[in-house]
Parts: sequence; C-alpha cells; structure tokens
Amino acid sequence: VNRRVDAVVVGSGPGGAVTAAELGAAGLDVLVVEEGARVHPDAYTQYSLEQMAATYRNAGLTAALGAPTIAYTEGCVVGGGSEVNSGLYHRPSPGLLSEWSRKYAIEDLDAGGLEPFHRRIEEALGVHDGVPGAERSCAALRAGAATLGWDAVEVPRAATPGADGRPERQTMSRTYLAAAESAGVEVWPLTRAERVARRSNRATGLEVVRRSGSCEHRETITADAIFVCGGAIQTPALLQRSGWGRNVGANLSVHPTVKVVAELAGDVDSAAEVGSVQVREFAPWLTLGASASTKAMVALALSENWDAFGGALDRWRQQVVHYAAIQTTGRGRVRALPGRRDPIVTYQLSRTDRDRLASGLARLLHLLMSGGATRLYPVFPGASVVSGPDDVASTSARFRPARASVMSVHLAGTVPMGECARAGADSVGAVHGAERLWVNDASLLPWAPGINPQGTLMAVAHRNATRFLESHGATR
Amino acid sequence: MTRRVVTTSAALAEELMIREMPDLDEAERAAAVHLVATAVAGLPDSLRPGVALAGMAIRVRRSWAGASWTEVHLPFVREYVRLVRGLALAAASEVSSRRAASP
Repeated sequence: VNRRVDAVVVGSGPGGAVTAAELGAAGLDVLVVEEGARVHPDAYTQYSLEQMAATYRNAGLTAALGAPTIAYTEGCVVGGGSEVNSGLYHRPSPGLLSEWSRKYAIEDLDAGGLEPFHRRIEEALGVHDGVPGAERSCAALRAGAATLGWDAVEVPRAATPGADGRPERQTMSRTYLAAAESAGVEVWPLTRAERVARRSNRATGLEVVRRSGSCEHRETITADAIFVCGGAIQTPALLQRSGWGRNVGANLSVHPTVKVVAELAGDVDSAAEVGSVQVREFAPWLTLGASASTKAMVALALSENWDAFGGALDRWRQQVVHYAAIQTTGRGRVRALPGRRDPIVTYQLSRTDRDRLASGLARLLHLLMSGGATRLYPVFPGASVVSGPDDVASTSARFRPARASVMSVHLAGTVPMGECARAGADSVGAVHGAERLWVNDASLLPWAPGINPQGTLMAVAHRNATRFLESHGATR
Repeated sequence: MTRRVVTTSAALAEELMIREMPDLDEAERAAAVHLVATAVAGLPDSLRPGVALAGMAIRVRRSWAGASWTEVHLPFVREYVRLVRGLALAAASEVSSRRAASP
C-alpha cells in the first residue's frame, strides 16, 4: 500500500505535535505516525503500573547500561511524553541558549527569538503558577529551603483546574494534536516507523508497520518532507536504521536522579500529583524536588532496603518521594542493532557526575531534615534510616554511586543541532548529509538543560517548523 | 526466551510476595503477579538476555543445591532480584490500594 502526503511526522509527543499542528495550519497534507495507542489522559491513575504498561515504552522498564545502570522512561502513546509527565514548564535561560549557540554554532537561537513561540505555547497549554493539588507534598521542601535560606521556586505547570478541582494536565492529545486534527492532520496510532526510505541522500518517505489487533501490515508513505520526532532514543535509532549515522546517537544527555522517601508529621495530599516546588539553589547542576508518592511508588522506593524499611510502608500516606537530579558531564550513546527492535543504550557517568550524585543526596537529606521530616529512607543499597541531623553525614558516606538506583526522565542531545562538526542536524533541524529530512524533538538540544525540557523543546520545534514553512514558501 | 523469562519472573515475584507481604490474599497476589509478568514481557531487547541468564542461574542453583534466590550472590542475579522485587512490591501495593478504594 502506498500513501502520498506533503509531510510525514514520526512521533506525536511535544516535538511531533507542534510540528504537525504548524504544518497542518499552513495547509499542508500532513500524516503523523505514532507507535503507541490512543489513550485518554485520565484512563489510568497517573504513575500506576497499569498506566505504565499501557502508555510507556517497554512498560517503563528501559535502562541505559553502565555503572550504575540508569533507568529511564519514554512515553509510547498518542501525545508521547506529555501524556505521562507532570507538565512542569520552564523557559530556558538566555545564558543557556547563548552557551548552546556558542558551543554548537547554532544560528539565531536566543531568548528574544523564542519569546513569541513561548507565548503561544503557554497560551495553548494554559501554563500558569500555583496549580493546586500537591501543596503538602512540597511542605518539607519549602520549610527546609526557608530554614537554610535556599532558593525554592514554584514551577508553572501545563495544567488547568479540572471539574473536580484537581489539575487537568494539558497534554498534546488535549491541545496541539487536537488542533492539528481539526486542521485536517491525520494521526495513525499503533504505527511503528521501521526506516526512512531514501534515494541516495534524499529521503523519499517512510516504511511503517501498522498494528491492528494481532495483525501487522507494512506500508510505505511517500512524502516531500520527513520530520523525525520520536524522542532522544527512538529518533537516532530510526536515523541509524536508515543509514544516517554521522553525529547521530552519541552525546545522549540525561538528568540522573537519586531518591529519598521523607516521612512527614501528617498525611500528604494528592499522592498521585507531582509537587511543583523545586529547590534551585544549586541549579543548573542540581535540582531538588518532590515526585509522585502513591503507595506503589513509595513501595518501589522502599524495596531497595525492604528488610529494614518495609515496615514503614504502613505509613505511606505520610510519605513523599523526593529526588535530587543532576546535570552530567558524562554522556551516553544509542546504537540501533540490525534485526533488533530496541536500540542498546549506554551511559557513562564521569567522576564529577558521581560526586554530584553523592553531594546531591547529602544536600537533599539535609534539606528535608531541616524542613521537618521525621524520618528519611534513602533509596540506595545498604542505606539506613535517617532520624536526625546527626545521621545525615554517616548515611551519605555509605552511598556508592556505581551501585545506586539511578533513574532519569529527561533525555536529550542525540542529534545535536548546529553548524559545528559535532552537530547531527543544522540550526533548524535539517539532518546533515540528508535532503528532505528533519529532526524536531529533544534530540536537537545539545544537552539536558537542567530544567524540565518540554517547554524548551516545544519552543525550538515551533521555531524550526516556522522556518521550514518560510523557506518552503508555505503560508499560514 | 520471552516465555521462560516471564514464567521465572512471575514465580520469583510470587515467592517474594509470600515472604515479604504475607498479608496479601491469594487474589491480590495473583493480580500483582500478573502486573509483574506484563511488565517483564515488555522488556527491551537489550535487557532480556541478562534477565534470562539471571533467571537460569537461580533455577540451576535451586535444582542442584535447593538454594533460595537470596543465596545466589552473582551481581547480575542481584540486579534481577532487585528488579523483580521492586516490581512485585509496587504491584502488590497498587492492587491492595485499588481494592481498598473500591466499594
């Protein structure tokens, strides 16, 4: 079967949804292919194993091999990562954009240039401060920061008050994809992109496998423009499978996190919500915050030392899982292997990174104790309960980064944009050495930015889609 | 390989839950084992061989020496047990929470 369109977009997450909406609004015939299913954002309890099985790639059991192994997650659902994340929204700092531009020779990337795109995104997603839902979860962070004089900020969220007063996350399926489909864009869920079809260096279309029940069938889509927006793992894997490998797949950058369960004096509200307070005193290299703290998430955290900590699960309503997330100097790699569906992902933390993890853990313990936590349960093998300020140093000293339980959700950098020799795509996402082929997702960001990257990658995707339309004579 | 990985992981998860969450009733335990099996069935290609090897090491050690999984001290087995234990405890907690919330 052959299908012909003006543009095909691989992936329906924040990068793909923005691309599809912009191209569709300009009147192009656009098709989005998404490997995951269409799942309503409220179909499952957020952060439950059921939700993970239905909406995360490999049911959430994905990991970058190394010492330590870093568990990471990718959304695999219509709407991509936006359907499963907390919707915390940041604008990148002018300093960060300037550093990216300098180190990767990126043309015309600055805060002023991104400003109009941020405004449009914030309006479309209803981004605002003070989204209700998890105030008590952030109590220890706030109190600890106040006691220590550390900088704590309320991070805006892409969420609006729902009918029951709880936040309703403004995911891609509710916003950009809905707008794209209204403009005539077609979305194919359960469709895996196998490879980009090519003639010499020119991308000519996409070979896909569509699933329907237990049946699969292959199709080829012919397109004048191919946008790969599968995220920082799947995008380089698809390009490699298609024979484009130059500066593609190396330079994976994540925010590894270590976790601590804090027990508070009273019950915590809305366990399934992520706290929107972050302590950014040591940003960008270290961010401290609160995660979702359902009973299952608390059990998972306590499981690391179950013999010693398991009894505490009875008090899970008083517990909040906190994290210390670092920026790394080390990098990882994505490699697609012939005949294998999933790429191999590796990550090498540097000595600096290991020191940062240890330091981040110690600072998090200190912060939470100062914030009134009654007991702390650090998540690493061999940890002991911290029940007073005097225990912080001895517990931190037992932490061994190479054996720690480390996870990450922010993945970037595998097809960095720019005009320098290390870049995989040019300043607006066109893949170097290819014609008619663009990347437009977090892969383009030179490294994980030390903030939740969705706002940044959406603004960059908006900018790139606009440039594409301008340079191809399409009008809105 | 996938079926064997899933079967071994489900058996290990059940054993872990009997030992570490003895208050679960049979239906809750079965539901939690199902969640673990579903998760393990979706393992990526890169992790599946290591998990299969760890499961085999546990089975061999058991059949030869009758040893428990806690007595297999190989690093990759330790990682595997850690993975299944985390999943099993999270699944059991989720199932019991859901049951407690239902009328």
